[in-house]
Amino acid sequence: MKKHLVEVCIGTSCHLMGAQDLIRAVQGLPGEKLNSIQLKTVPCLKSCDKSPAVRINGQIFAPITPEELIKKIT
Amino acid sequence: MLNIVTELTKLKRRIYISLARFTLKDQLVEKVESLPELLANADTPRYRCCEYKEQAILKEMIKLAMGFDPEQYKNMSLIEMAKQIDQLESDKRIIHVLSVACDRCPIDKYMITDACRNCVAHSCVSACPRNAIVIIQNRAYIDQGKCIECGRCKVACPFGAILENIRPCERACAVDAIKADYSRQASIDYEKCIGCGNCVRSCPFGAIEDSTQIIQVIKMLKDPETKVNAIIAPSFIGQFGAKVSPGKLKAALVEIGFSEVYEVALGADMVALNEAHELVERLEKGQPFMTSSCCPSFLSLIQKYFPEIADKASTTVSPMIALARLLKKTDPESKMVFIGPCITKKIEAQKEKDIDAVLTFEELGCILVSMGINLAEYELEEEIKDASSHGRNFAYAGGVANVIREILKEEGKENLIKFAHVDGIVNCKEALQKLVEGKLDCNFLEGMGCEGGCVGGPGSMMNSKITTRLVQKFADKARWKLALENKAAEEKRKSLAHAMER
Repeated sequence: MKKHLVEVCIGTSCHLMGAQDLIRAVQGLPGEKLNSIQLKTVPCLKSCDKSPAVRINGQIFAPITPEELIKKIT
Repeated sequence: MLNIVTELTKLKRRIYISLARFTLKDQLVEKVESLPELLANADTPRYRCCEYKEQAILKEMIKLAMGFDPEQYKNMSLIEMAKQIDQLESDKRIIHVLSVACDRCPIDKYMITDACRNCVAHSCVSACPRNAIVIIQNRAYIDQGKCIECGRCKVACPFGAILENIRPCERACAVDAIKADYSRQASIDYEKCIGCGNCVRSCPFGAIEDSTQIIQVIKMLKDPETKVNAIIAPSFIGQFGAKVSPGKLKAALVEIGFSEVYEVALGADMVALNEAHELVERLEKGQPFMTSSCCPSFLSLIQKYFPEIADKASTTVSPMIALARLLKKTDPESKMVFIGPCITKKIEAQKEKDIDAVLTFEELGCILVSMGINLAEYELEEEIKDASSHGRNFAYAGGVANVIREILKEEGKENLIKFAHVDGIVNCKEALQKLVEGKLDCNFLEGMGCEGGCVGGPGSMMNSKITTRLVQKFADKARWKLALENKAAEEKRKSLAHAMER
């Protein structure tokens, strides 16, 4: 299984649009799934007008909901 | 509180950001009318029957966000309101049910679900004092015309098949201030309301909201003639993310045009010293107990529902008022903007001439975003050193009682006092009831309307478990441990004298 790199933007715009919920959703995954993910926070993904934003393996998705994020990484 | 950001919350925040942007660029009159259509159109996800209904709801939300009662200005267009924004009467009630948004939830209080087994005993039928329960095709039903909503059937059913159905807003209100009228439209009885804001959080249709002063604050900030002070509640630590330091927020406030930024924790130092002395004085005079008074909802709960002990509440003002009066004393011309987690502070500020506007953390966040400020990559820092660790600890439940205990410990008087603290309106009500009946073994009761204290307020943005820890860490870093050591606070308290009284 390859590791996914998930970078959640925690800039103020993304923070207001639920960045914390995205982080919580990833952290809430069961153990073996969580092990296949490298979760990071980044200060800006230059997508402030489409917040919240995440970057998965180098590709930016914005806006994204916690459900959509989990679907993309599992 | 986890503070989950729902689609409703996002929509509300988009309104705030848009209004802030328009105001900044002097485009409010030009653009406000088109905002509902911008946020709800054929291409946006549908939450209601159609985009036209959504636009009607958005219009009400925008009026509220502009700082007005949408009911009062029902027949006025957004553009007309924007033109007359300085002449219209600002909203005094703060919390409103948006009539278009209210889904008029059904109020059949008891329903029998599919879990009914049509058992032999039919305990529900026997339990019903009105013979309202009938058995049809192997299932029990409630004749709603006969039901008096006593709930005995629910208790009697061994399968738990009977559902008690309370509207979320009514369930959220601990003082029964929300009622549905004959058309099932929810409405707030302001005589009963204590302004806690629980109903605002509770409505899954977003039909209950509070008004904001976002536009008014931005206009103050834009005016070069006006000196505007920001006074920030002790619970601000970590609200914009655990990685955003308090100093960055202060620097950002200065950048967006606030002349001075003060910790309300300084006011809390003053309040703590005042309240500790007041407590000893009152107990020595033979008063059996005293309650705290810094949470306006808790105070309102006492005044409206426990009037027999209203004279036992501390008469010390809240930290917000103490600090505002102090600053106005030295500079009467300056404007005072309180920034906190709190809806009930908006109501408190209405009665207080020294506070010019109140913003929640959420509203401030929207203003920062509208100005293109991202705190996560902010470089500047400003030192914050107004308060002792005592004042900073007011932000979470138990903080006030603890600080007063420590102050009296220094004076060797803590053995006189039995402390108790309670948070969440339901728990506050219970504790006050016990206090009235003489069943609560304490002579100082701290009460906070929100669960977890101010960090759990409706205008907060972070999980209060996380922010409580961050507040404690920040308190540990204060220049002084004790409010007593904050000589400035003690001098200021004395200089205010009677102004420290409600």
